[in-house]
Amino acid sequence: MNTSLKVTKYQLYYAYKGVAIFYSIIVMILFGIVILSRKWPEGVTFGGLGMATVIFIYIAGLDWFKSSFRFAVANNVPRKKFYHGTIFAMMALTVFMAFVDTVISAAAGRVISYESIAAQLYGTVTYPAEFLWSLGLYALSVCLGWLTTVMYYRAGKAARFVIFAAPVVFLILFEYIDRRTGRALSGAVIGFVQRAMGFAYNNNPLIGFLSLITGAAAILLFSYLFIRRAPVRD
Amino acid sequence: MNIIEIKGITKYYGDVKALDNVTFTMEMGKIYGLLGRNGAGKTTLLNLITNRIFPTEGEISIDGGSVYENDKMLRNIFYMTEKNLYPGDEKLKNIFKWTRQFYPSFDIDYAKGLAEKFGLNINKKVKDLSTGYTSIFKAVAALASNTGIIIFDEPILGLDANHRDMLYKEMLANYNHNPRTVIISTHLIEEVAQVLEEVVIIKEGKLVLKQSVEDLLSGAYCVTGEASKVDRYIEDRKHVGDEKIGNIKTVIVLEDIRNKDKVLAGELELELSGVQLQKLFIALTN
Repeated sequence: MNTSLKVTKYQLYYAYKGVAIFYSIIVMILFGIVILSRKWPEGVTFGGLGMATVIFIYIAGLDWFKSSFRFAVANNVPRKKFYHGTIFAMMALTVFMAFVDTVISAAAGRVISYESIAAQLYGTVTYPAEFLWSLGLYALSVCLGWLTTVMYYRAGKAARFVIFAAPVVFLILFEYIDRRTGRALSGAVIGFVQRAMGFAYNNNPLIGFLSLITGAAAILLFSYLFIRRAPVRD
Repeated sequence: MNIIEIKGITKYYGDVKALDNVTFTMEMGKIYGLLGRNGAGKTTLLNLITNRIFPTEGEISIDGGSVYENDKMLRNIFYMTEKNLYPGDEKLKNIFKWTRQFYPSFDIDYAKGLAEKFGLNINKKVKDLSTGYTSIFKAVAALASNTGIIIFDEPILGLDANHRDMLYKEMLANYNHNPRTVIISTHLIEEVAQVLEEVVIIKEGKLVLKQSVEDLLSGAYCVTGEASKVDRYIEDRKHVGDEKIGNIKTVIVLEDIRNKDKVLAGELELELSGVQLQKLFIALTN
């Protein structure tokens, strides 16, 4: 087996327990909701379980670097192979979770009043479209988690503070510039998001999928700059 | 073949030059001792050989192929680092299994046998091991890897005298059973001298010498006696490591002993004796 695929296997081995626990909790919550909906048939609507997956998969991305990188180094795995292997693992987990979430969405929709995130944002969506859109969202989330941890790993003390503080500084600056420009900046951002996510084109989730996947790919390419010569650190 | 060629390697960490234009070759089927004082650049060199860090200048190749991000070359090297890189929450037996994934020639049964010999419980987690047993675990993994090149960086860290002796014996048995290129970097030179065939000595990032232990020790000797007489004896002779206690002086002469040397030493009432690797190392690197 190729070294990259061995890395994939290793990464997935350490993720499967977390995934199993996560879906056990989701299924328990759904059972709870089903029981509640039997008691109050008119009053219970439920949705957006995908947000939990977005958070979970982001954390999985955060957790997929330091320990596994050190183990890969202990086994003389070249950085490029580690990088490819981890991408394969991220994609495998993303496809799996998007698929399971779509199945959950389809099953829950038959029993209770349930709406997935895609359905909440785009209105009625087909299951294949929901699967693809979730796939894009989860891919972006896991890649963001991975980039965060890789950047944090490579950064010195000062740079770590910058990574930590950057979102806050960005929001403050954004608000300041937005106010100074008479809300033109936020208008431009909203316009961009509407076009990128397909809301401006007949609420097309496939455009959203393409944008999310492109974002994930860009993040992965950017991550490689940090992995390329990463040293072993404690 | 497993010939390691180190060509013009220079490595900077910021402004600090850790290695300075180091060039030498290591041949297949020998046990090398990589010796040097703290901060001499030994671990830097080993990290460069195994693609863990990258040279500022120069190139390292194995059988003509660069080691830089070269999976084929790196599959043939097992590097036991001083630092523990294994996940603390994992059991040793699982790490052996995962190591076999990356090193298909890894012999799990041999690893289990060695673990038993050393009293290493493979059902323990890495984080629960003492310093000594962490070293044993890493050394067992290295010995069982069955790669063409095995590198040990401070393999005896935290080991008691019995375990050190056992490890040297296992290293030799393993090597005799399957000759390969072995590199050992350690501070306990006198102990490891018994297993080394060649030494590579690095001082302040520069290669001081690379020679067989036999040639090195046979090409040097100690002269001991009254200080003034020793000084007379060593005039015009290449020497290192002057040691003086009271009026008695000992010097290491870097030459073969000839008959006329023995005669002169006799006339001056000086004692000539063999030199130990550790003494020679200290003299050469001080």
